[in-house]
Amino acid sequence: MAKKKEESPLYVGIEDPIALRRQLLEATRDILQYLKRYEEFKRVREEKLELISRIRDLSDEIGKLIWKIKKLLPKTGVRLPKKKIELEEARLLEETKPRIRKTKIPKPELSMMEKIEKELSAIEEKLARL
Amino acid sequence: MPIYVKIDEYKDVLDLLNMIKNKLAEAKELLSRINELKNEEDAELELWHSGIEEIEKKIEFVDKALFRPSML
Repeated sequence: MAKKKEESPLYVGIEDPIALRRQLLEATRDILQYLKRYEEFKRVREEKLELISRIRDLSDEIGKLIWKIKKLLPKTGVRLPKKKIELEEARLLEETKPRIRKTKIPKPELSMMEKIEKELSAIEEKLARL
Repeated sequence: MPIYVKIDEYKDVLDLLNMIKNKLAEAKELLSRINELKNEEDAELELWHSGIEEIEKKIEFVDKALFRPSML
């Protein structure tokens, strides 16, 4: 039975074999071209990542330099005088505030982002006080 | 109310400021190069997108020709 099948195989007709072959070859060529381009793309990405790492280092260095300047400059006690009313209000608030015993709660370790935010708000505060 | 800074330290501050300025200029250049590379990447991705659509069409043609010859 199997032998009989081999003797009379079935064929599928292809109307335009040249067009089919052309499409297949073109698709293969395109894929190969994209693979080639991918290598270039990889190079661009690597260069970009390298530059990003350099810019990160630069920003660290700039931060350190600013810190050095801050250390060189004298500490000033220059503060804007607080208005009398504000002081009075603060005193009253302090007096009427219920006393709460403070217990030390261990602070969770700050993430890099939190540290930066903390530093930022400290700087903002200082700026506001100038 | 003025503040007074020792002359040696003042010079150091100026030097540091110059260093910061140079580093900022460098950072600016790097950023502009990163932007260029990003644009290159975006253009390339866009090209791939249209390229893949083209390949998809070709494969669709082959698929029809081979498996659904009556549809051609």
